[in-house]
Amino acid sequence: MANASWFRSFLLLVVGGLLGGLFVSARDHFTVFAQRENPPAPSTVATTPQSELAHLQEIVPPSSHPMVDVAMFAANLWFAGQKKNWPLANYYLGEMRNRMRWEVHLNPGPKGPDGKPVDMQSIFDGIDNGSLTTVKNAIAKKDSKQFAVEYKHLLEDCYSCHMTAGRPYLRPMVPVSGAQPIVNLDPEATWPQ
Amino acid sequence: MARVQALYFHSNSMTKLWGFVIAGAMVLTLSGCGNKGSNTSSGFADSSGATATIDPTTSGSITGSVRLDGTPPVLRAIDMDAAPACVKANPSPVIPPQVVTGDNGALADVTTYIKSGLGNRHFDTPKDPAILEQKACMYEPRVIALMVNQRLEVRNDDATTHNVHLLAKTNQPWNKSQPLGGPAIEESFQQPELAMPVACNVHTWMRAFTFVFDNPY
Repeated sequence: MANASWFRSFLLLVVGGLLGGLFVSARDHFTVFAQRENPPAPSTVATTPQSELAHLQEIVPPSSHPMVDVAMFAANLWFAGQKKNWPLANYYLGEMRNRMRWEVHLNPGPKGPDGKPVDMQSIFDGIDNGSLTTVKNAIAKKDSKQFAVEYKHLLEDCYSCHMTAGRPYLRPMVPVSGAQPIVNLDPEATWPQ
Repeated sequence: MARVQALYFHSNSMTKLWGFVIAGAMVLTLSGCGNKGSNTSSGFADSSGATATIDPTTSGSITGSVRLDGTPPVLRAIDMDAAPACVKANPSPVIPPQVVTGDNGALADVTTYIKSGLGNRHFDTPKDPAILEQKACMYEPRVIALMVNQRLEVRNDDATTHNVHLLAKTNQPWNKSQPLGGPAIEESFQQPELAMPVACNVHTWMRAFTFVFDNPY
């Protein structure tokens, strides 16, 4: 009888241990899943200005990002001009100029091939008073022939800046396809109303 | 007697220069050339209340020279590698023309001018423009002088785009890109001003200086 009692006690102990282990494990898993499904609100996370700054620095796009927009608007500008959609061409030119200014703001002094900072603001000002103005004038006059001439001058200006900033491999060309196919370039389009 | 001044511009302040103004051919047929004490604070000839118009066919001219006393600085050739069109236009290395000397240390790119003493005389603005050319990615001439309201014509003879940036202080500064084959840039100046730098922000070694006077001397 004594042996049977001892064995029962031992069995209960083992079963109790197993059940206890299962309970703790299940609770931990539940907590993890619950945290995944319901992450704590940002305000409850302990942060410091340094950690916030580091986080912001991680999520800031590269300073070249506006140039992606410049490329898109420049391509669309060409096709809007080819289609004689002058209001649209004027819009794209304005957006292109806007993004160029943003780029200068983000990256005012990249290093040139000689290691010295490039005066991006002065180069932009020259382009702004030069080919950006002459393209705008051609659009205002609705002069397709002059638009084509001045657009190429604008690309030459762009490339002069690329070279000065040490990126001669970024050689622009008159685009062969537009980059925003959802916008109807036809100035006579009637749909949607 | 009119006062004459000479200016020479370079960027190496370590160079010891002695300027000698030799007004060898100073033949001014100006009546009453005195007007003593008219040295204006701006450093220019006093032309306020202009009354007398000068006939250029009856007036003279002024020349001068500035000499370098010492050894010209040794400058390294310009690195144009980042601009293939400029490299192609210059088969030989180009030394920055900051100190160009001739016989007996005579310096190039010097401007002589009458600083004061012209009184109330009026001088017609030349009809022909002063021309500043961009050749082989260099300015030619490096120093240019013109009169108030005279046209300055900037030409681009290069197979590349330039940026022409005039850094004026008294006059209105301006900055324009100029593509290859593009039309000349035409500007003029409303006020006298000395040594306005002209720079190309694309080809940063390019530098010229523009002088604007209210008289042709």
